[in-house]
Amino acid sequence: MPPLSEVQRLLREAIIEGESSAIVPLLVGGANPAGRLAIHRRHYEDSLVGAIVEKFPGTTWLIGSPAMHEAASAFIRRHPPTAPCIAEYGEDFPRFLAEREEPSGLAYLRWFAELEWLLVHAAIAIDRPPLSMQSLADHRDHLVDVQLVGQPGLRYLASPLPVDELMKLYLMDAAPEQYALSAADVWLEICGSRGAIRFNRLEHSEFLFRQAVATGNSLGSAAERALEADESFDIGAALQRFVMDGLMTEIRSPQDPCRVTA
Amino acid sequence: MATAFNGHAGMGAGVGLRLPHIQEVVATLPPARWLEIHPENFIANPHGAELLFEARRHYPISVHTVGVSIGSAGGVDRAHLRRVRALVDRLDPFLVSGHLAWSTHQGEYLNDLLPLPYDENTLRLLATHVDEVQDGLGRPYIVENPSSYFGFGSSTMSEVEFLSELVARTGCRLLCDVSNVYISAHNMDFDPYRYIDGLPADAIAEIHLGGFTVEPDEANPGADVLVDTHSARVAESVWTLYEHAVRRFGATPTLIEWDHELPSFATLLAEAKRADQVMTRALAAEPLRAAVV
Repeated sequence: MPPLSEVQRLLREAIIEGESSAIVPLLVGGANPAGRLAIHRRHYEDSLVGAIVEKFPGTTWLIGSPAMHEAASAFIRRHPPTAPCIAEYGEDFPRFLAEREEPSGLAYLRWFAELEWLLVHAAIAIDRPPLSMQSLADHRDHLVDVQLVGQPGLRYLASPLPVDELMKLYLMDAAPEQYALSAADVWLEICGSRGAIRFNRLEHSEFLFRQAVATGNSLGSAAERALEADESFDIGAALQRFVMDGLMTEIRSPQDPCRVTA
Repeated sequence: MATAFNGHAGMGAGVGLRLPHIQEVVATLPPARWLEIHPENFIANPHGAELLFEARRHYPISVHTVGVSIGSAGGVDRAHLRRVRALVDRLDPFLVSGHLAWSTHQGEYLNDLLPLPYDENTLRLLATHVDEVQDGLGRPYIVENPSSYFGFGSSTMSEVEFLSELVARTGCRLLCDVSNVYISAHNMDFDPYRYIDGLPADAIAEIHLGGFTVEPDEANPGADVLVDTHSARVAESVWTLYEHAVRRFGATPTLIEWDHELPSFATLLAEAKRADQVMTRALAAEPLRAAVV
């Protein structure tokens, strides 16, 4: 009998890759226990394909259920989960889908699926109390060094195709006979909380500013990125809009990094 | 009759709380005696966790892990254990349990409860991992017997012997899934009553009851294999075995598990009510003493 680690490697091969010749001689149960390996193989397939399909209903709507199941089935064999919380599984699926489908001209699929992934995760977030303008004013002397913390359900996506329009069609259950998707960069802000979601387009410079702030950059650093894209970018007005939209929750002061102002 | 090891003997029958029911439960507070959750469904779902903490204000909660993988040769996933601990500390459940199984291999999670060979090497490894989990969680960990479709020719002890020795070495307690006993007994051709009689009754902290499906057995043409799908009502033959188990173990918190093709919450409550009735009847009968197996 091989050591337990080897037994588990062989069983893993049988379940994920369907290669069971090495594990079968070690098994007992029924006249032909190899046949019962199929129960575990099927569970792996059904539970994880089901989880992927459930997270990407819009993508399924777009490419059809058979193609989606085929893609998900290939994905779970190439990229098994790495953690037991299946809610976190599938982040790589949009890229995987793009690699599979790009030759057939479905380049938009990746970006549509990326948007859908972000929407699903925004929906299970919980809003925190928003930051007030007054709180920000207290830091006016060192504003360029301040870092802000965004709402947990806040996400950003830059897409080379206007997949947000396609997503709106899906969400409104309004599929036209034909739909032409022309190449056009869109910069999207996604926000959600307790099951509610919204997404909207931003100007490029505003997107760069907000994305930089939301990913932990200082206001000064975020402003530099926006100004590189548009030298007329009005930082003060943009910051005010950002806070007034209720998307910021905390201030991290560089003078006292442990102190958080809400 | 065995004496329950904890103070939860009178909890009666509870039901598994799954995400599709949680908003209804929080909004309507149905008369469940207690609820059991899988932490893996809530750790990465803040909205679900918020609703769970609201439910906790009204119900005792038991936490049943599915991803701790105490049987992995590569060790327990400590990062996952820390996340479970964080949830458990906030929920303060009356029980925390998991499975005699493995799910993780070299960083991959197979989303299943996979079987182990029962021998001294595996036992030593499991004992170490149970100790690690109990230390990591800061509370007792209750280990559930698996449902089996096959075993390993190299096993040198029965599952009952393995579990009993695990209890002796670690002080852990056992979750007797009566449906799993029935399923494994059918699939592996042993007597489910002798299995129940062989378990250390004082160590039984919880009982599970779930539905299974009957499928043609590829291993035995013309015969059936029972698959632990948790997608149906508890079978009549399992209710009978449950009554025997209660006479053997005494009053024990009992869970109705239903994970797939979920029915209404009212259906789960009806199953729990039946479990309470069976438990009451069993407790009125003469207790069964430990068997020599």
